[in-house]
Amino acid sequence: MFTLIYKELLIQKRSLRFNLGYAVFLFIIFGLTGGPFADMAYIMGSVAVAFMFIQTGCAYDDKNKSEVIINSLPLARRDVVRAKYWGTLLYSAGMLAGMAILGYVLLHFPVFKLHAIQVRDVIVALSVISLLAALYYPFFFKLGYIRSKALTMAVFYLFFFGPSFGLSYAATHPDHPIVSSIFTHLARTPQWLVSLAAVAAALAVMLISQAISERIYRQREF
Amino acid sequence: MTIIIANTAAEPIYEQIARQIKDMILRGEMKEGALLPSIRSLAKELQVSVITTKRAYEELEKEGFLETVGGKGTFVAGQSLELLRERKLALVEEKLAGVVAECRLLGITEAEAIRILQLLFREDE
Amino acid sequence: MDYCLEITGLTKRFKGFSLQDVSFSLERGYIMGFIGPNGAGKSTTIKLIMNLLRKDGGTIKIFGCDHVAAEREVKEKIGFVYDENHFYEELTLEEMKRIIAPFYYSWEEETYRRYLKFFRLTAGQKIKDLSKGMKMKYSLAIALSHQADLIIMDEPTSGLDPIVRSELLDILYRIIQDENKAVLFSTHLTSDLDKVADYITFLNEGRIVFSQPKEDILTDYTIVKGGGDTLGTAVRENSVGIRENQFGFEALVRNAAGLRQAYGNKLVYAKPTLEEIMLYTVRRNGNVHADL
Repeated sequence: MFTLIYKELLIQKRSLRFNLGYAVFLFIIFGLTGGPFADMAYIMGSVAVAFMFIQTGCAYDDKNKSEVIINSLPLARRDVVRAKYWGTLLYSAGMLAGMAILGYVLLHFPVFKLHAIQVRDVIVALSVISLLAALYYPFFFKLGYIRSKALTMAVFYLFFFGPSFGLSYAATHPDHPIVSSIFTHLARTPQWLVSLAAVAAALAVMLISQAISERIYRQREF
Repeated sequence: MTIIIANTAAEPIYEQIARQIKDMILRGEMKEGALLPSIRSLAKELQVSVITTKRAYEELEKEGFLETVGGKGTFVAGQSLELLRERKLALVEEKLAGVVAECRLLGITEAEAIRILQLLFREDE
Repeated sequence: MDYCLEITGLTKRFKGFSLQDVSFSLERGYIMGFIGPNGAGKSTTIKLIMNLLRKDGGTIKIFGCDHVAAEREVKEKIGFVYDENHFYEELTLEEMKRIIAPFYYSWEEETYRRYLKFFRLTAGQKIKDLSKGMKMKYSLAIALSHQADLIIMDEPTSGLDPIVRSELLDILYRIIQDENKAVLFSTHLTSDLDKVADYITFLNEGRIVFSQPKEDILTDYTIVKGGGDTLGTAVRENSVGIRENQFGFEALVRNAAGLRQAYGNKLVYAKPTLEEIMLYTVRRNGNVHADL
């Protein structure tokens, strides 16, 4: 499986530079804008980049029709699936690390209203990315890149803007029964437990999605 | 060792190979105990199927011209002088039978044929 | 009988086409040519062997093991060269190899480098800069560098010039010097196989027409030519297909001996090429001056 993760990174060698540039760009823009965007800079930046990683990786596979060669090798199809999921997480972790460093650097320039990276950022980012992967990959494994493209856009917007909209909606409608019950629960539970639950949930969803993808891919024909 | 194949001839390729090897043995060009190329390398050199070369060798083994020693290769079989002479005579007889048939077809008499034969023998002297 | 490949009753159904009851076997040490017109099902058969497509029925055994149950072990010993060699265009030869090689337990780096050198390829070249012939050679270099005993080639020479094709045949001869290896070579360019193949399996419209030693096929069938007066029931009954023209006819027949007896010198006899056998079998009959 590690060779396959290596392959994911290798084929995107060139895009890597672009992604990095894009991440820095986003980071700077968000930093300058300030407000909720600056707050969510790490999360939105890494989610956007992770999304691009998922997309480009799948596009390359499809464009080159390389899955014919890959699946002729002595390997297990489930490893192909797992490499996609974990490769995405690994890549995102790497991006976050990079952003953390950049964040520390930019702290010295008060024009950027960014904060140093916090555990919350990492947890939310990775959880959102896990959910993103969980939602997208089964469709890719079933339909291929081209046919899942329409879905892709919808998914992206959902995850990119979703968290912020969700939060602002909750803030403006505190009396909504679901919103209030969530708030009361949150108020009662300590922060760390909430984080843990979030991570566990995201991971669980991803693992379920992975299992589904494995089953789909096993039946796939080329 | 010279072997030439005519791909488009009616004679099956394995027969062409077998015949040419047999001729070489009978003419003394290949001596008793000489090692022949492996069926695979022969197939590669002549650009034919290995089944073909295998069959050629098998035919010759059946006729007693070759023998295969497991692990070592295929060799020209030991021929007693008698057997060799017998074989040579048989070969010439075969060819002459063809000539006789041709003579009958063309209406050439026995006497005329013998005269031609004598002339041909004297040519080289 | 040491079989590299044993296929029995293989079936696969698609919407407009199906592979029906395909059976043939390949022993170690031989080259089998897999011929048939485009769309006959050759690529489908190969994909089924590699489990890229799932079969609807039948069994496929490779070195005695089921090709799905022992998929990974079996693929270790298979070297494959496909028609479109789908590598990642953006990578170099070396990078692509770094992705593929780790999966093979018996990868031989030395052998791989020797083949690259022999094919005049450099590790630093980008895959997208390779010509079709070079891509095929690269594919072959990889296929031959992990002690594979069964080499499966799916139309490796289509679109290549005769020089490259002849180079490939030389390499096949070299491969087969090792009597433990076997090659399955699918192609619609039968001239490649007229010489090198040991066995020929002919597939047409999803069914096996025959699977026999090549020499037997070329002696079983004969091309017979003659004037219109000789085109009687004897010829028609024994023919696979007949082409008539204004000046006579040409036919592919099975029992030439009978015809030789009946017509002798009135007919011209010639050894067929695999291409002619394929053409006549697929087209059956053809009239040169038929109205379009």
